[in-house]
Amino acid sequence: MWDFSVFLNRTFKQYLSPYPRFTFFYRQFIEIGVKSIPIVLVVGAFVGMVLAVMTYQQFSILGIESMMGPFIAVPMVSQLGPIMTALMILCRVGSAMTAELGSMRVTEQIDALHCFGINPIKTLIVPRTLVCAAMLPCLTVISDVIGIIGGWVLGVYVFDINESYYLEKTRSYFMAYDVYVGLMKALVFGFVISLFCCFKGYTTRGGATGVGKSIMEAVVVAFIAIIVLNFFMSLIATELWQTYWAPDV
Amino acid sequence: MSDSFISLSGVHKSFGPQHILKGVDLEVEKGETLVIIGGSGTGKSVTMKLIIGLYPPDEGIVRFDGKSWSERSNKDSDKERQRFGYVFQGGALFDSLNIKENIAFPIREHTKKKEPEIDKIVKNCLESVGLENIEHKFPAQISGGMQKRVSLARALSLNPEVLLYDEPTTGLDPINSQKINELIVKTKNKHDVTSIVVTHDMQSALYVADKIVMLYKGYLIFKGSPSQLLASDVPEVKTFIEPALQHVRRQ
Repeated sequence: MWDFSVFLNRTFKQYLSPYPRFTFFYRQFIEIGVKSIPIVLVVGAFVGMVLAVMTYQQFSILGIESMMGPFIAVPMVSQLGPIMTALMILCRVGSAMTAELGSMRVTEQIDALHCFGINPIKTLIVPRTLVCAAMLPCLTVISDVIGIIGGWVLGVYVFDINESYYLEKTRSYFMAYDVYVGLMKALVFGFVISLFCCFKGYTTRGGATGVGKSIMEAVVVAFIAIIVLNFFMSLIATELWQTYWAPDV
Repeated sequence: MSDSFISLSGVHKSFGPQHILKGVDLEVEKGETLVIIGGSGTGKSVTMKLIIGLYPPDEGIVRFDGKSWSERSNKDSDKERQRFGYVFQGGALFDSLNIKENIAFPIREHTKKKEPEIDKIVKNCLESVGLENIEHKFPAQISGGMQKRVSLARALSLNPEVLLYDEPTTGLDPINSQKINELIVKTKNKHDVTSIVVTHDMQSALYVADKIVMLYKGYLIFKGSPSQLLASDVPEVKTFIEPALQHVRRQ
């Protein structure tokens, strides 16, 4: 914990210092953002469709299957969109970050940066963490949209629900607040994933075995952190909604 | 206080329970080539990293150009490190960048030079280590010997005053080892740099050194010229250099 605190302190200090060249950010933007779009599209679409199947199955028993629209859209934007996107990014990008930084550490590439008078936190960690935190909400929006479209396609064209009724119900129960909560979660998950994974990579010791161990620890810790944080952020969001914005009944 | 360009006074360094350096005193004068010899795990590379200020000593003082690293701020230390070039044992080339980008990296970070000027410096650095037309290759696409030479080219890119070589000939065949030895001498003469070489290759040490020191179990047990080393009566020194001497005699 102490090492992580020191790492965070150094990283946050660098956030307030002049940033490295644009090239460092651009590379991460391509790696983290652009190259993750296909996987986010596939996962988002299937999560939306699974939600549609599950909702239809339950609601048809009660005879309210035409109400399924908002029950796909709301969980998609506030829960499943951010969580599934975060987990995909953790697997695809987080593990790669730890592996790359870990290899750089054990082959003395990070020491080489120090020797050139270049701060490795500034050139390696700052671009990765900032771009990951900025890209996760963007990817979450893509996942949300494709998930809702997936649910709509299944609901309207497979389960034969009236389209205008489906859309009207979705519109009336769907709130911008859910989107804000989802995006806020994605932003926090982006920081958590990149900070944990960069920390484990940056502090790797002991050759190839050490790199493997770091990847495993980074993914497991970040995975648990995402699940736990999601619970507490959902709780806080609900509390805030009920305290400040819920309509009086 | 020592007036030497680089000095270590009573330096101790431990990693966990391992006490690596046990009170090392060392001076390096401007323009000389110092070779640090010793067996594996005796603290040679640690000494180099102390000299460049990457590791702080547990006890004692490491001075560079009259000032200890502990007296300098982080920003100041980063600036002073630009006066060093470090040739790592494994090259430590950035494997996501091609050779040109590797050599240009410190130039881009520390200067505002334009691309044509950077191209020229990269070409000159590669030429000075006897390489050409490999700018667009990646480190994984060149041999170990070439990687070490590229590492030296990168170290030369900011015109350093001090060059640190960590096991420059380890893992190389005799021809490539000799090429590296010649490069060390040529670089010293051409760029007038102070060089510190860590090695356990005695042939290399005797070829490049103005002064040799030997580390043994964390202590500095010998300091002197190559000829003094060959004449040394210290049993540990004799044991260490004997195989190399036999090889020379056979040749």
